[in-house]
Amino acid sequence: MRKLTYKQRRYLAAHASRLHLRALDWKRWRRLKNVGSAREREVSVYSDGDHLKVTAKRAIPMPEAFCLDTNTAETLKFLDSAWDDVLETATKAVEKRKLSAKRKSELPRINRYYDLATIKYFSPSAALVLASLFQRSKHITGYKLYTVNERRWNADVAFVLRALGFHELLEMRPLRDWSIDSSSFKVLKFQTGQEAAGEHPGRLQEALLELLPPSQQESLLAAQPYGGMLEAILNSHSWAYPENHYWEHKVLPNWWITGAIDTDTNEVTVCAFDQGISIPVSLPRWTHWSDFEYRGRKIAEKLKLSKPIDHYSNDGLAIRLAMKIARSRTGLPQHGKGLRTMVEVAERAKHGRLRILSRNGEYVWETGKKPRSYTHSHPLRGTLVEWQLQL
Amino acid sequence: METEIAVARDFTRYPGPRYRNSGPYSGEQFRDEVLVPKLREAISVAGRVIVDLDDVAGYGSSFLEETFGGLVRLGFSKEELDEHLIIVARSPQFRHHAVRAREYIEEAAGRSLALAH
Repeated sequence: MRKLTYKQRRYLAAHASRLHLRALDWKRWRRLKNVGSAREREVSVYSDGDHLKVTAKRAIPMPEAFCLDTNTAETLKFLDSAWDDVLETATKAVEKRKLSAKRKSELPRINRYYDLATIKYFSPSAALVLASLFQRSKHITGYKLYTVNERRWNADVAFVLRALGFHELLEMRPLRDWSIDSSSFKVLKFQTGQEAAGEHPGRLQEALLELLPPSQQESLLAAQPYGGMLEAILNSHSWAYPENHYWEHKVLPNWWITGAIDTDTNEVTVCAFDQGISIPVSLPRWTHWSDFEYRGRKIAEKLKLSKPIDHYSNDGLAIRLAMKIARSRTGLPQHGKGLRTMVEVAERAKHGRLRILSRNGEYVWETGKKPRSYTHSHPLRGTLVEWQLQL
Repeated sequence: METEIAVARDFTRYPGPRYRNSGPYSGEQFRDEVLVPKLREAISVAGRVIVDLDDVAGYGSSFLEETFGGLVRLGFSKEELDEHLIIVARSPQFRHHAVRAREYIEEAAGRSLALAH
């Protein structure tokens, strides 16, 4: 091998350094060129107490009205696609970490992010569903998700999220001033667990009572949402997460509950959610399944349905039929009695509404109206029970 | 002799699920640990047990069914329960629970009769 002179070695080292710097310059130039383009943008990420500027390839806009009531179809569509995306990303992050043993809170390269700045209205029920998804992601990875461009979020939306407890699930910047809850709309921090314990719904009901003037406390006590929440929790504990079920991503077999109050309209909202197999899927496990199946078959024949009653395209009908059996029969097993108790909460209010969303089905019971049911094209990954009680 | 059991005072303000293995303060626990010993005692001395359902956060149907319907499944007859067990709720928001608790006894008695035949 030819021996290099000192001069040649110096020249080659300088040349390599020049090439390296040119490559870095080119990379920087390319990055700057892409910022603001459709492909990449500069965003602010809050992580470990610092605001960091990073580039992100794509922002996924969220529905303007993130609400399963007034904007059901769009919100369900968003949740359906986000569900797999968030959980898959979390699962992959864990696998990657195992391979590369990176620091757990290391910022990943942001390919895409959910742009919460596009949301103008966040309903407590939809927020609870999203909170449960973020909590499952945290359960899988062991760390909170980052928030992107938090300063650009709508102030009311940020208030609902903080009040609900999102700061425990997301890396949110600390607030200097917590006096934002001066409006008439108040949301309580969500409660979650696996055991069917009465203390959680009990404390939630008490917190709602504290926010009400004494004249309306009696009305809420008369409706007793506690019983409905407890039954929803019990259904989650007993039916929603069967042991032999295959879950695509690591499951978090919890229930989530929250409540909100609007002191201007005297309306209380209480909701319970679980990420389980859903009511239509759990129906065959009912003791009264044969009765349900028989009546379902008769309805299917009468309505000339092309699919059986337990097919997802008939979920609305299936929940409605389950509610009908639950409300009409005595001597029901636990599952049926629980559904009846849920309706009774709405019945006892001056004007009450019970809404159950489970997989593709929706059932609504409302004071003075006939029960209604719908089947949506996108599923909810679990069961949401929501009571709106006019006091 | 009359013995009063107030669920809120003698058991919990947050009545829970049906069975012990589902969560704390279940109907099964209340029935076995609080109600049944007092009820047996009352029956032996021809007395009565008064169960006061007031002042709790509320009830799920499962708690009430397991507590009161469960008494029949444990072997107490409907006649014994009619004579020795009184279920009361003084405040209006709990009265329907007292009515429902009685219905659960009737239902359970009806089912055990049907099984016997």
